[in-house]
Amino acid sequence: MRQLDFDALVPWLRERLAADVRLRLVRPLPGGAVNRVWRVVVEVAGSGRHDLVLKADGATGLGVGLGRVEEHALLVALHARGLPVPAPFLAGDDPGVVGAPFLLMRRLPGLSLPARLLAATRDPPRGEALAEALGGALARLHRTPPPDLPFLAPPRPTPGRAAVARCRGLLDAADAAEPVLEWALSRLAALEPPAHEVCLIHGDCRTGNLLVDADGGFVALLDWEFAGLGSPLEDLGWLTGRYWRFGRHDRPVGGFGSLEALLRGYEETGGAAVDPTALLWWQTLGTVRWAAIALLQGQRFAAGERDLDLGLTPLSLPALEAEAIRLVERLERGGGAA
Amino acid sequence: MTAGEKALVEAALRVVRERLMPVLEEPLRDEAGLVALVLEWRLAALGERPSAGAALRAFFGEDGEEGALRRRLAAGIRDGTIGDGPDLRALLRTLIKARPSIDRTEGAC
Repeated sequence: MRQLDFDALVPWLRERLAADVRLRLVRPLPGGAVNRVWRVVVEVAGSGRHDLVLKADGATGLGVGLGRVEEHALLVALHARGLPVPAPFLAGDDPGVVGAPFLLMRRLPGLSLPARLLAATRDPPRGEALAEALGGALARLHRTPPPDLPFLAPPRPTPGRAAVARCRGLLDAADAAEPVLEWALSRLAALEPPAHEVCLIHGDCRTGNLLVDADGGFVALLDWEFAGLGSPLEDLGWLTGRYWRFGRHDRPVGGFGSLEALLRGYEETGGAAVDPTALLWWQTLGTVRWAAIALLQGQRFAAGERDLDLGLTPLSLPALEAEAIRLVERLERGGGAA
Repeated sequence: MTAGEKALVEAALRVVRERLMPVLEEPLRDEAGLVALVLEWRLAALGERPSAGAALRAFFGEDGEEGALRRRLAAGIRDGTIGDGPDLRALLRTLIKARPSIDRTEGAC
């Protein structure tokens, strides 16, 4: 189900805004591994033209993460605190409006597709500047007191243990027998670093969920559906994982910047000093997490969601498993972030 | 078979015989015993020999009873009845070779 039905959207908007609304443009946007994203331009009587992005649940999902109404509530809180997020507009969980729960947010100009972002930051100083700015943005996020929202539950008993349990939950959801991933998780449980302070984290901060301008300058963090409370290192470990470098392993931060630039921006903006071995632990956890998600993505393809990315992703499992073993053994030797 | 592959199959044999078979219930134990024999034969045979990955693919396949063995190994690692060790790690590395893959560690989203 790639198509959404927008016939009921205008009446819904008219009722919510108590004004006449006309639909000027509806266009699908690329990207979105789990959800469907559309550009929607509406003309509202009395307030003019609104250039929006509509994000709706995919036909099949991973069964984890925030719902669209929850994500909207989080965006409202983060935007009010001045964090770099799209301005929220409205959200609805009635599948009768567009066919699935959805949220609307104001469209920010910029680039987010990995190929375009990496092209915009091909010049190394631009990539370094983006890594440093992103480090600063993450530090501001991690220092922001979490909003009082009922779906933001502290990880128990520790962020690391909770993350291991979530990964096992993903494997169980996939009904997958994965000895290598189970082994990596058992080793991670045994090697867990001292618990860091718990803070609000993005949960999926990576190339693909960053918005930059044409010069590669940082604009905003997108896609907050995996946000929650956790270790700040979870964001940093996920962002610097090998699988988000798009082959640019000389630039470990998303394929565009250095770890030094990221951590400089992070620590100079008030983020806590990063222990390299603890960061490696979270990189390893991220590798296992992505492998488990890859299994689920393959199942979505098998269930009929004909997206080539979904079908190909499980074929990366052997490389992810080998990487997990390599990182665990590096961790056992007391190594730092890879 | 290269020396490295031979070492992997030997390690796999040790896991199958000494650590997996004792915790398996019938009929999986018989199945594992058969696989152990096949692996042993692979090591002893003088003629053409498959790679370690190919030898184990039949054992740790994705479906049927072989899949059930793989499932038992995963469960044993999670619940701690199959502990860590160099031989287990060698087996895990061999399992990685036995599944279809493409070089696609990046760029999936």
